[in-house]
Amino acid sequence: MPDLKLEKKIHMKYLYIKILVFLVLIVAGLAAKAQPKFGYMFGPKTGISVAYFESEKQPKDFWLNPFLDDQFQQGFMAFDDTIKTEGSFRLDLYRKEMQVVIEQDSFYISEPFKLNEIVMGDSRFVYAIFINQQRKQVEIGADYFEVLSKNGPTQLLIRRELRIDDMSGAPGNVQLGIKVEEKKVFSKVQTYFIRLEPKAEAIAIKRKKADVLAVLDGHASAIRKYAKKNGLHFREAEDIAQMIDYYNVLNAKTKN
Amino acid sequence: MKTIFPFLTTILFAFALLLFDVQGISQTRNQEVYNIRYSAQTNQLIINFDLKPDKGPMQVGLYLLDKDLKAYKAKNVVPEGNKLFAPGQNHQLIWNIPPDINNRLEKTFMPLLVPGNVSEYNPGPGYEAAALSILIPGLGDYYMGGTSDQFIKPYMRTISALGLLALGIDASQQRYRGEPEFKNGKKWKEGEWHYRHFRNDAELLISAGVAVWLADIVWVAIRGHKNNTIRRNLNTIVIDL
Repeated sequence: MPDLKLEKKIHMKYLYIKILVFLVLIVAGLAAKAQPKFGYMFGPKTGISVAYFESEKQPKDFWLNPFLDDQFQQGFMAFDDTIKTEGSFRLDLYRKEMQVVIEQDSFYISEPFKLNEIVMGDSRFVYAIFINQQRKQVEIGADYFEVLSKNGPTQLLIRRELRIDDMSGAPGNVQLGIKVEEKKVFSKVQTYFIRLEPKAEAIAIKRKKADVLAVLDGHASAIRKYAKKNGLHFREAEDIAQMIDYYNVLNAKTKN
Repeated sequence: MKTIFPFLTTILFAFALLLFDVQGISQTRNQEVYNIRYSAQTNQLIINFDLKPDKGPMQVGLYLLDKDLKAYKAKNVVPEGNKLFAPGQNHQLIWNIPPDINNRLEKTFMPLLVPGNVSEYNPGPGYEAAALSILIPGLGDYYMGGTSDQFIKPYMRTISALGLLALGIDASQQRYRGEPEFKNGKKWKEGEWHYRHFRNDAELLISAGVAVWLADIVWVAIRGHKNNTIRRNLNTIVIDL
């Protein structure tokens, strides 16, 4: 006759162990923000698959480069109160500063708020105050943005940021028992913004229908129809830029 | 069950004492300023806000918190800091940005409107509120406030954590092993396990429930810690921009 009490006790013990293992896996997975990898362990009789986590890493030469483009590019800058000045330009994403070489002199733009625009190569840049509002959490700042839409008062902007998270606080540089090689985590982050007027704030958007149409509220239904007719997608930045161009046309018509 | 009951009662009693004792939980946040709207025009940040009608006239200061929650005071603000705002709607503060930041805004800031005396400002309950979430998942979130803006509401956390746990416990109770098979009078094979829902259902459901509960406690503790840091920084060190 099997001892049912003992069997139940053993079963419950295994139940608790399994719960603990699942919890550890869940917590480790969330905390590591890592890609799960799969491997196989073979014992004398059986083989089991094991999932483990490995931190994402980027090669040093990629993240140590703080510039949008290594090379200076020919172009011009225009301030609010002056004529165009030609030179070579390079954007430092980490310091959020535009480096300029004019003839033999090199410097950076110390008063970017007075800047109207910078054209370097095929790209156009503006300096703007941005407001990033996600529910009640509000962030404000100012940065250089590349203009993705064509000429017009309303612009689709892209902000590129070099984000550095310092992990030096981790004791012994070990997290969740896994040795972490790098003390800093670097990432290049791209966010999209819409600026309705040249001197207004840039408003952060997610590339989705609701966000874009909420900002372009004045002509939301016309934009929706235009996007549908031309097969434009709200996930694609190029398509949103086309919608902004159309928005500018509609605005100009309304004003006239 | 008989052995667990006194243990649970003791824990509940200890928490009840803790809740009465914890000063952080009994503090209420400043909510005099509401409906805050931000915009910018020609290098100026324009902040429109409303003031609760049940309070008297009060000063409203603009403070900025950086990524590490260090507090900065904006100086070039119109109207100046000593102006008293009457209770009511459509008040405005304008921050002229370039002179305050030496023409370069290198950091990203979280703006904060502080009514009255900054040294008495309270952004909300501290991490002690996590004790409420230990008692019931989601309870700490309710106490933290701001639930109308949350995508996952506290009641969803309560239902999902307790629901998953209840399903898991039920599954563990309903699980049973079939009769063993015998051949020639000897046991040939152990009886197979019969699960309530699916294989390893109890383990998975209980783990998921506990994970949701733990996540809720951690979430409340993080928010509370942030509130404590903001309160400490605003009440002690405010850096002039």
